[in-house]
Amino acid sequence: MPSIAVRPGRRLRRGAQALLLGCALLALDETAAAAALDTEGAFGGWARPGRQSELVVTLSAARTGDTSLEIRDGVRAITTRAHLEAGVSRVLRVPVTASTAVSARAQLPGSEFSERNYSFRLAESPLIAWAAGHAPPEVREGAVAVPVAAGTLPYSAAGYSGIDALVVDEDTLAHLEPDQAHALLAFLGDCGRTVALAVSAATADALRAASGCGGRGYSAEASAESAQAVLDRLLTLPLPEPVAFDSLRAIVDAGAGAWPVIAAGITVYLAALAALLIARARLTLVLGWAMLGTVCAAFLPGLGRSAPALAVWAEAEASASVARYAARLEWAGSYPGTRTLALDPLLRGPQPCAEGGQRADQWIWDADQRRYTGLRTSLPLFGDARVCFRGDFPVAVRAAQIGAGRAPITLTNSGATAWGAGSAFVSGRRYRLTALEPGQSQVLETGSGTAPRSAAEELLAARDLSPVLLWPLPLPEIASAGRARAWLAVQVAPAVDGR
Amino acid sequence: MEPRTAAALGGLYSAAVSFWWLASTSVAIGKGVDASPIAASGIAALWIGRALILCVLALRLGASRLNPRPLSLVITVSWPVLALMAQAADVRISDLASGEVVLVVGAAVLSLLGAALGRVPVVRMAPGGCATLIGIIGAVALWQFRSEFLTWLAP
Repeated sequence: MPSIAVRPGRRLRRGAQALLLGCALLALDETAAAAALDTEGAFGGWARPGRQSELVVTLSAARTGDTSLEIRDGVRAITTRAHLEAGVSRVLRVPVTASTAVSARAQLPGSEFSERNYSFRLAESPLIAWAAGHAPPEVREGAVAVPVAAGTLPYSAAGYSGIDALVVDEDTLAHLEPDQAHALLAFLGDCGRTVALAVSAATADALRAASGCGGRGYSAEASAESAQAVLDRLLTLPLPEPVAFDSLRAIVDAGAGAWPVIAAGITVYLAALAALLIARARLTLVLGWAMLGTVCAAFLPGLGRSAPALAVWAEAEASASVARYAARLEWAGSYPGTRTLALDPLLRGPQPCAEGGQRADQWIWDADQRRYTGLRTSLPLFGDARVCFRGDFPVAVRAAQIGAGRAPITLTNSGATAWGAGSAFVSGRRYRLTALEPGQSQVLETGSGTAPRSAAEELLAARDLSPVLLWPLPLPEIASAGRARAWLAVQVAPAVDGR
Repeated sequence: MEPRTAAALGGLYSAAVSFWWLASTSVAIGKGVDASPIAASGIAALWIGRALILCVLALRLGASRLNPRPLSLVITVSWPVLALMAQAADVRISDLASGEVVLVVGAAVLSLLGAALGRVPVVRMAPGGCATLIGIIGAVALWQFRSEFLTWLAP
């Protein structure tokens, strides 16, 4: 009778083999389920080096799950999460710093990660994105014109930072997704140099109305040749830039951070040490004090917390219906430790400030809201971190000047809303502005003007927007900011003589 | 040397470096400049300054057959300031600790060398003066080659 009995040792070995085989199959399955990843840059990957552009990340997976995505652009790390349905591709558009070494890494829970490196095509000379059917003619020497398809235009305003000018035609405009159209309008509003090529009169007018800086950066042309001529002019035309984030530093009330506490701690320690020495204390007591001081110094700074400070600077051109703002949220001289700064939804369009920042900073991108929602940073003692924002809000203030070139200057509230008290700046001099009801006027006596007094007034004087009115703005409570300041500057409409 | 003189010496030097660090950091914060290199320089200054003091004092105490224990105060009174600077600088704690170990071991070795030096017949005439002179020469040599010593502290 054949024996079917298996010896215990052999049974154990077979069991182990089966387990190993199962594990191997499971691992094979997990590897197969890893998220697939593809990357592409906005404008076909063309951008100016170091500027913000948009990275288009296409994710797909064989199984459903939440994928974590980390992008490193050489300046910072950006992390995001995206829910993937099995077999369905998902496209994420993330603003990144244009460089030749951008890496994206996606991972589904329990599976291996997928990694893809992307290299932007960097243009050292002014870059023109030619999103029009006509082939780009030869532009002036030193500029690069790159033909781009409508689909490659950015979905966020930050994506336009990578180019210097845009040429767009009716067909391209017709093929834009709503988010692309919003981004284009934001680019126009930010004084982006744009040429509308062979568009209808209605489209040309709509684009002109959306363009900032009084439409000086915008032109509608009938042919590629005339567009080329206009581009030559636009690229050399100095347009009033929106306020630089760097210049906002002067108006941020950053506070002293941890400095006073640390200075006080050192003073107390040294003073007590001196007292012990004068009192001829024992060696062990002095040593004990030094040890106690060391323990306190090692742990105490880690217990402190400092809130970031916020400054918002808004400017509106004469008779404009929107004010464009730049904001800066800043920690300065902070306590040490890892901090997560939630970026309040009230602050639209947050983006990393051009200067500062550490490679270890992690920007948290919300793929659904398509905005940064947080910044995780590890700060040393006295370290600093900064976040910049741009956006716009409606404004109803209107101001007109009466009496061109004559003294005294008369300012009139020509809008439908009342003014609060503020300041008026004419030819670099500051005048007190009283509260005015609609239709009321105030006479600014020449000679009563003073030099700018505060950092905000100096910033305004440097902006060269004269004549201009300045008001401090009450900010809605923003949870993430400790000290918040905001200003609104509204340009005065050109003088109307004898009215 | 009395313990309180050694502690006062270490404390005064720590106070001077702390004052410089806090003042420079305050300016850096005001200008929005990274303050961590200042702290790293402060750590380096504390290390090299104490090393120079020990170079002279350890030999002198050893040669004069005095108790070298006060030397520990020169080293330890700076530790609270160092602990704060380490949190402000991009310096690894292990590097910082190894620097302190070098100081402690160096002080012990130098005081032993001083004791040996005090037994040399020529030196025995004026052990304190001779040891101080040799210590000053050693300190000058240390200052000349300070960059080699500070590489691991303030890279």
